[in-house]
Amino acid sequence: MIAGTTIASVLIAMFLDSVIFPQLNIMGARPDALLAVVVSLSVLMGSFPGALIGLASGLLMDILFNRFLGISAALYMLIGMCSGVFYRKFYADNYIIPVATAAVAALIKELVMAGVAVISGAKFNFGSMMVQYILPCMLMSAALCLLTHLIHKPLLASQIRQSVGRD
Amino acid sequence: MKLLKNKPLLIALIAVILLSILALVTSGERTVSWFESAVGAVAQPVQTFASKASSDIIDFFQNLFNTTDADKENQQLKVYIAQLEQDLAKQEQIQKENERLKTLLSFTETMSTESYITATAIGKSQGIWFDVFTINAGRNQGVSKNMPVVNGSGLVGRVTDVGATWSKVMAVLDAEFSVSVMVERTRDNGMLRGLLTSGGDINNLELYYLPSGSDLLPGDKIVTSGLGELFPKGILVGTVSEVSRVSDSSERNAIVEPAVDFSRIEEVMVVTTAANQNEGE
Repeated sequence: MIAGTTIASVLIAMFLDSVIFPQLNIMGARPDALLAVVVSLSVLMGSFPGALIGLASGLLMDILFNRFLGISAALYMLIGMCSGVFYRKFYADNYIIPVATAAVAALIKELVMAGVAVISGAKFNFGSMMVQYILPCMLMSAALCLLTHLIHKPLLASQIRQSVGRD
Repeated sequence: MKLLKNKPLLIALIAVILLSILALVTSGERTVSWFESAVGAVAQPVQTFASKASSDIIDFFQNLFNTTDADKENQQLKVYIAQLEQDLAKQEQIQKENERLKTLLSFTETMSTESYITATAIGKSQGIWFDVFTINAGRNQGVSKNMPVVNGSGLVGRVTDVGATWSKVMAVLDAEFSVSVMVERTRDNGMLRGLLTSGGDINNLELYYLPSGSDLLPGDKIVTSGLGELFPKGILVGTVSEVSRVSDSSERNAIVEPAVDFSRIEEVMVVTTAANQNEGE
C-alpha cells in the first residue's frame, strides 16, 4: 500500500507537470507537483526514503522530458533528504511544516534552475522573473503540497507507524 | 571531520556531485544511451495515452466553468444540458482536430519537396527555463538528431535527442535555440533566438544581426533563410511585433511573436529531407 500510493502519487505528479500544467496558463506560472509530492512523502517517511523517491522520480523526469540528465534527480533527491529531517518532529495535525518546506524547496529549486538557464545562455530580468514567476511558483507549489499532504496523511501515516512498529 | 562521520549526508553529497557531473556531461552534444531509450520506450505509450486524455480533461473543466446559471435554476434540464454539452465538446474536439489536420495537410502541400514524419507531442519539460518537449516518434520511425520540427502554423523546433520510439524537441522559444532567418518582405538575413520572458502568456523571440540599413516594420513576417543548412528555406517562424533598432548590429533588432501557439502543441511533423541532406554533405 505504501509503495503503491508512492508510485501512484509520483506518476500523477509527473502527468500534471508534463502534460496538464504546461497547457494551463496560471498567470504565467507553473506549480511543481512532483516537488509537492516528494516533500509530503519525505515528511511522512523520513530522509532516506525521501531521498530515494526524489532521486528515482527526478531521474525519470530527466530521461523523459528534460534536456540535462541529472539536474532534476539531484535537486529532488536533496529536497527529499532535507524534507525528511522533519519526520516525526512535529505534531500529526501540523500542516505548516510540509507547506513551509515545499515553499522553501520550490524557491531554492527555481533559483538553481534560473542559474542553470543563465549558464546555458538565457538572458532575463531577474527582478521581474522573481516577482512574476518564481514567487507565484513557490506559493502554488506550497498550496499543492498542502493538498497532497491532506491526501497522503490519512492514507500513509497509520501504515508507516505500523511498519516502523514491526521493525 | 564531522561531515565524514555523517554517512547519509556524505552519500547524498557524493550523489549530488555525481549527478551534477552527469548533467554537465549530458549538456553537450551526445547520443541517447540504451537505458534512456528503453525507459522512454516503456513510458511512451502511457504518456501518449495520458497526453490525449489531457485534452478531454481540460475541455471538461473549461466546459464546467463556462456553464450558465440556468443550469442551477433548471434542475430538470441539467442532465439534458450536460448531455448536449458533452456532445458539443466531442463535436468541437473533432472539428478542431479536423482543422489542425487540414492545416497540416495544406502546409505539406506548400512544401512538397520535403518529406515528413507526423508525431504527437506527449509531454513537456517542467518550468519555463527550458522549452523542451517529447514526441512519440523516434529512431524506428526514421527520426534523427537535428531534424527540423514544424506544424501547420510554422517552425516548432529541432530534434535534440532520439530514442527508439520517442524524441526530444528543443522549441524555438528555448534560449539556446537559434536559427538563421530572413524578413520575407525585404529579404534581409538575420538570426533569431528564444527569449525567456515571465508573466502572462507572451512567449517571444528576438531577432538580431540584421543589416544596419534594414527596413523592418511591425507585422513583417520572418521565415527561415535556409542558411546553415539545418532548416529548409521559407518556413514561417513568426511576425515582428516590436522594432528596437540600434546602431550596433550585434544588438537586438526586433521582438518577434512566434507563429506557433506553444501553449497547445499537439500534432507536429518532423522534416526528414533537410537533415538527410545535411548528413550526406
